[in-house]
Amino acid sequence: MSVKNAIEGLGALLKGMSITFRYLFEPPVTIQYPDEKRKPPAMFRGRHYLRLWEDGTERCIACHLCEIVCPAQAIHVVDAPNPKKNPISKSHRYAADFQINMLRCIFVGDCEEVCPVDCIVLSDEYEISGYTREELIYTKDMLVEKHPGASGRDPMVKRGDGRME
Amino acid sequence: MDANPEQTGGATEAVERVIRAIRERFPDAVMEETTLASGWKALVLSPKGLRDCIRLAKELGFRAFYDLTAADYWEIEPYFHVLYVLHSPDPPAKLVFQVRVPREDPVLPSIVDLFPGANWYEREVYDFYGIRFEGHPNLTRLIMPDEWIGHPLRKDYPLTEEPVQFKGHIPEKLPSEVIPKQYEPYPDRARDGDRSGGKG
Amino acid sequence: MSRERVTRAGEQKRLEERIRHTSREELDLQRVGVDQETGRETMLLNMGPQHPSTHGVLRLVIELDGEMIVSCKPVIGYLHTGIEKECEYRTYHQVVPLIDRQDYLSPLNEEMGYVLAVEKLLGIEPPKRAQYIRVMCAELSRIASHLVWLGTSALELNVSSVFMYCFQDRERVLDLFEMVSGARMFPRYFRIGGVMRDLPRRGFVESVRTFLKDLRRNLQKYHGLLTNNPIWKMRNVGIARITAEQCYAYGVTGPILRATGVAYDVRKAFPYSSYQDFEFEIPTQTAGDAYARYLVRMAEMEQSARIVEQVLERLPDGPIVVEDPKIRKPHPHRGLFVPPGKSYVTVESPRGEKGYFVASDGSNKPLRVRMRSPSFAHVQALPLLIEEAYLADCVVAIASIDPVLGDVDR
Repeated sequence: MSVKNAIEGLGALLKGMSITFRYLFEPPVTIQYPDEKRKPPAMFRGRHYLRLWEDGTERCIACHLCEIVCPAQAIHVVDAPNPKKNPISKSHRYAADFQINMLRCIFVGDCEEVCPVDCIVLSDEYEISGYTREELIYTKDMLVEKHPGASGRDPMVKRGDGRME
Repeated sequence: MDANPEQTGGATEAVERVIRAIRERFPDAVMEETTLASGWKALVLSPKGLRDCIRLAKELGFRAFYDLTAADYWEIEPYFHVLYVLHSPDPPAKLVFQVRVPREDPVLPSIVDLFPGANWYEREVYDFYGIRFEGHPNLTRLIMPDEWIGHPLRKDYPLTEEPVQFKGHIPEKLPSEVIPKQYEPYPDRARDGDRSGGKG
Repeated sequence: MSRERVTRAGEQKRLEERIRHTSREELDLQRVGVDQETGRETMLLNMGPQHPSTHGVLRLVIELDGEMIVSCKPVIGYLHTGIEKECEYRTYHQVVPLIDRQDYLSPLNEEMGYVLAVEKLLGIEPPKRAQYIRVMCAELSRIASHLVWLGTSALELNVSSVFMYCFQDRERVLDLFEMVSGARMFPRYFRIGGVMRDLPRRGFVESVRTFLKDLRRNLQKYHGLLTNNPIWKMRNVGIARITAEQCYAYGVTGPILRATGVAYDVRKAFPYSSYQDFEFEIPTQTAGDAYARYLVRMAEMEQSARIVEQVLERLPDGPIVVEDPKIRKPHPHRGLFVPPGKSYVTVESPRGEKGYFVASDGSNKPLRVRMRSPSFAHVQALPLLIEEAYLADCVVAIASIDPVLGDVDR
């Protein structure tokens, strides 16, 4: 190998090393999870929630549309007639049982698109894990939000506009 | 509003020239000349004249092999439709050949000696549909395990699925039956007109 | 289908008996490719499905003479998930999340192909704004895929700093996808007739512009680290050569074909989705080896950035999906009905030319959805590249082809 080649090669190597050397003085980009957590953007498709109206009644009217449209068939709804004295939802029927198999769910968001009362939403929680298969089948008590607005969506806003910035 | 120029499969003069040459040389092999919905020209051939037509197309400029695939038309007619797609480098153009093979004992001549790239494509079609290609050096399964029985992409091969697991309940329908396959006569709504797709 | 159960003890016993009963000469002759006169023999090496350098679960059965590869046979099928069969049992809109998952490194190009094929069957065209947004997403997806290629090919030659920098850039592209559609890797953003949602009103365009500025600076960094590096050149120049005629015979397209001197790009030859409104070049090289492919892909990233900038400048206002309610929001119990026919569409994916064949019989479920994947043809052409080469070049050859096994096996 000639001397010219050796010098050229050494020059290229030194140039490369200078690029990596500069990274010593730049701040790291790592986020120290779990001490710091990144907030996902508004459109994020995470854990499901069943929303409530602002007066506390449930939105879900058990129309089965989310169950039909899901590409992975991860939702199961059982409907029952609304009791006359204390109506649970604002229509004839309400969801007596609502289960989502989180292991089948691929977080597509079609259920949210098709829901006529904007009940089921995909919030921005992404920490969904469990030890057994049974604990990852979410039942209705795990899915309904505890008070209006607990899912991160404004209960006064209708149809999906609560997500756009 | 000006609509986009469609993908017409490239230089239509080159494609027309080759189609005319093929029709002159082998008039009994060409059964029909159609256009796919995407604008490409397709020739429907008979299985006996397939090799000659493909060899002639290769000599006339379509010397790049692109695709070999099949579709099972079991519900409509008892045939497989096998598609060969060839590509011409200059000017860029694509030509499609279609062959109809009967479902009982499907056999086609192999084109591996014309295009070495057809080797794996023919093995894949054999694997999934059971169409045998005569003259193929090594017609064995490619993607499924070697000891698999049956040809999965045929319409009478069932989709193996099980009901989704829920607490305390098994759904009565399998996932693929929830929306059943339905036929509805498609209303002729503006297929001929409106190509702009909704400008306000 | 069931296999016979054979116990390990029984197998071991049978092997021991066979060894005891064959003589020394017979044992030697059972090995592969033995040369009687000189006594040389070749070795069968299984570069198995689980290997960090095969870009997925690709198995190569290589016959080696010392370090030189005599013959090679790729074995595929380890990632087969039956997507093509599943697509025949879902409605047209439910198929989109399935095909997202084939070429998982650039899913938006997959969606583009399928959605274009179905739109041709329906005979509609999406509005201009939707087409421009699709172009932008497809080009960002191409940048992300090339960054993965660069990072992993550098990692296989032990340049792990480039790997880290590339994935840091890719994280920013995935953040952009998350802003637009809600998910990083499988966006499910395109729908038949347009796109799902409009771009976010606040902050998106500025984020894209800062990303492009940083990308251009980082591309200079990668060039400084790799392009004139004598070690990189020694490993890549002259390795895994292929000629244009061999490419045509095997159906090889994309950056591999462009590195042999043929200026063929689907975006220029058969323009789709308003690509003819944008100015960009097709980078080519003539050497046809791994170094040429590296240069072509680096130049392609630059051109993709140029296209995204033009989209941002010229984005028109308007609707983002066709007006027809039967297509935009079909009845959920029935789905979308498509008139009978066949449709074949090609798009330019980062790997090569991707073809989508959708056949319909007039019902609400497709009759056949077929993805002609470029990686399938490239892996078939792999023996051309690595025979008569050394084993160490095999890794470089696979990296320069850039296969994605999800595409190969579907």
